[in-house]
Amino acid sequence: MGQNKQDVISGLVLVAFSALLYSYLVPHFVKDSAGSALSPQFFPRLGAILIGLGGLVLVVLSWLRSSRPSGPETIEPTKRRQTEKQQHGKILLIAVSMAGFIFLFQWLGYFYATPPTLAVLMVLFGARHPVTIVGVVATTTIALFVLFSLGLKLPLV
Amino acid sequence: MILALFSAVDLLLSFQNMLAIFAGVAFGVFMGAVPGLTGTMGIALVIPLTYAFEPITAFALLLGAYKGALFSGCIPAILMNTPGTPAAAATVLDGYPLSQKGQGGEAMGLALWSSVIGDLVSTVALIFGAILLAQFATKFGPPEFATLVLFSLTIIAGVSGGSLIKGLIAAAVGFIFGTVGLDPMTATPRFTFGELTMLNGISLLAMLIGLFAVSELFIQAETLRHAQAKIAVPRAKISWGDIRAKLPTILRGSAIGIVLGSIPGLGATPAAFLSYSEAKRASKKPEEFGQGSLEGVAAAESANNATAGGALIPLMALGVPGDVITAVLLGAFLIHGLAPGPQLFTENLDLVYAIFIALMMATLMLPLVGLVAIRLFSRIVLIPRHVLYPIIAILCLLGVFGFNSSPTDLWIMLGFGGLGYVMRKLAFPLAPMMIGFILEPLGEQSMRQALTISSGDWAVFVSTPISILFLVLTVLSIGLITRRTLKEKTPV
Repeated sequence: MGQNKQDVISGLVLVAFSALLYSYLVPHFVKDSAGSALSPQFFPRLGAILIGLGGLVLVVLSWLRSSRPSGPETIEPTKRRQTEKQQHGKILLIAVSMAGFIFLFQWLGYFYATPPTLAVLMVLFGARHPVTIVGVVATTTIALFVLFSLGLKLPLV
Repeated sequence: MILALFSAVDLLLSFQNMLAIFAGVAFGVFMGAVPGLTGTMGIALVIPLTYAFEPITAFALLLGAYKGALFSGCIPAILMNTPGTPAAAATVLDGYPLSQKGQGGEAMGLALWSSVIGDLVSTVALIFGAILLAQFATKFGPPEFATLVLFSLTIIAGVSGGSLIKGLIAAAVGFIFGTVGLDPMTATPRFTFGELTMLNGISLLAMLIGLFAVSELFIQAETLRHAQAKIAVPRAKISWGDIRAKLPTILRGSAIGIVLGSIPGLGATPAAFLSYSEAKRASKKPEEFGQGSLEGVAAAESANNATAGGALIPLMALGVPGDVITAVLLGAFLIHGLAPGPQLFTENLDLVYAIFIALMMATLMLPLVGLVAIRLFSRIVLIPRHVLYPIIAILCLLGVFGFNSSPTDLWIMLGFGGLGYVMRKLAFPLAPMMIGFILEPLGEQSMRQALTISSGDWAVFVSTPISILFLVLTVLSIGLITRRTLKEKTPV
């Protein structure tokens, strides 16, 4: 997707978010109060207006810019889309692994969460040698436990 | 004052603190030297490790890391034509050609000592500058603070990268996140969605690590590079005579670094380039610049490191971050329950002095660590990314959990990691969001206090010379930004 198109979509999303914030989220999730010179709703509303205005300016400027001719594409579009898809899939898997760590950590504890997450992340980041993976996982799990729990006295359960 | 100075020496001089400074410098050098890791990410990762420490030990570690990362960006710049930090891009211009000519050792030696001298000069400037500015700032009341925050928001223009409008949008989003939690004046819950854990607002650390470390992991996963092939690293060698010959260039670079560093929003990269071009203009051999000039390396590196002291002046004296790293450092101060600004100088003067001495110590440790790092660099770049990044991911998770023992913070961190990644893909800068988030509570509280005192009269913001000065500076700053944007035809 071209930069201009991306900017137009981001701008429209921001305008929609600003409208949602101003007309629904602020009135429903920030109580109005007369105890101060300014209402607690003042700054959230100001933020919403700024986001909306910013989004609008982004859409207009991107639209104006899109009328200018753009340079030729350097990568074949189909190939680029394929690479982008692969990359996004990988990032999603990394995020899911980290989310999995949070669940495992909450329910089972550090020693059940860290080794599998580390192993999965290593594979996702390109590790292929099983001995390296096992070695790094074992050493890191113990080293981080010693650092946080014994060294810094931060509870890991 | 003398008593506070003795108290500061007593506070700092312990084996633990010296070790913290050394470890900080070493870690910073490592983060700056490995392409793909950044000083900002390094400091964000160190913050969770400092909870259990006394504030001075924590800041010894953090400031050591800051100084180390600023220097070491030059190592890959000179040896591999790859700047380890954005500011080291100016060092590449002459550093790499020197390396190709077989003068890499001299380039590294001079880069190291230029950085040390620049650092030393800027720390002295910080000590005097921050004390004077803080004394001036003790006269500030809510209207002055409110207008100061307004002026500080103009620094967003400087950290917005190529797009001012996107920087402003990011700041507004950060501003909204800053309103989450209890309202500072009436304690009314805002956007807490009935969650008790949200009453204190969004965890600064979760946001910071999510935005700067987790999003970086996602980006690196996309552009994963394999470890570099082994490269030959020459021994850093430079004679005192060579350094003395470049001293005017180094001192000029230091002055440029201090001034540009202290102007919120400019930072190390423009300082390094300006110093480089000034050195070229003043040089007797300008034709050597770009072909491998030691003067060019000295100019870029001295200015780069001198921005550290300059950027810390508004941070320490006014609580205003000058660039991305100082915004993260401001977060570290707040996490440790300290608010930089004039109050810090009146209530914790011994800590302020101890921080200044720690900065000096970090500068003195830099040559020691730097020389070792240069020797070890060929091994540092061989660390496989598939080992480094998964460990960083687990460090992020454990660090955020360790702060509040709150799983909610982990989800917030992951959410900000995702948001940071999307923002970077769409070319929205992250630093303005962080600055908006940090400055919102301070600005809101000052503004509402001022309006309460004046019974709702907005004229309170033009009632004192200082607040008028800040308003004028804000208008001037906006004018200059607009002029620059129109002149450069900066993209949206």
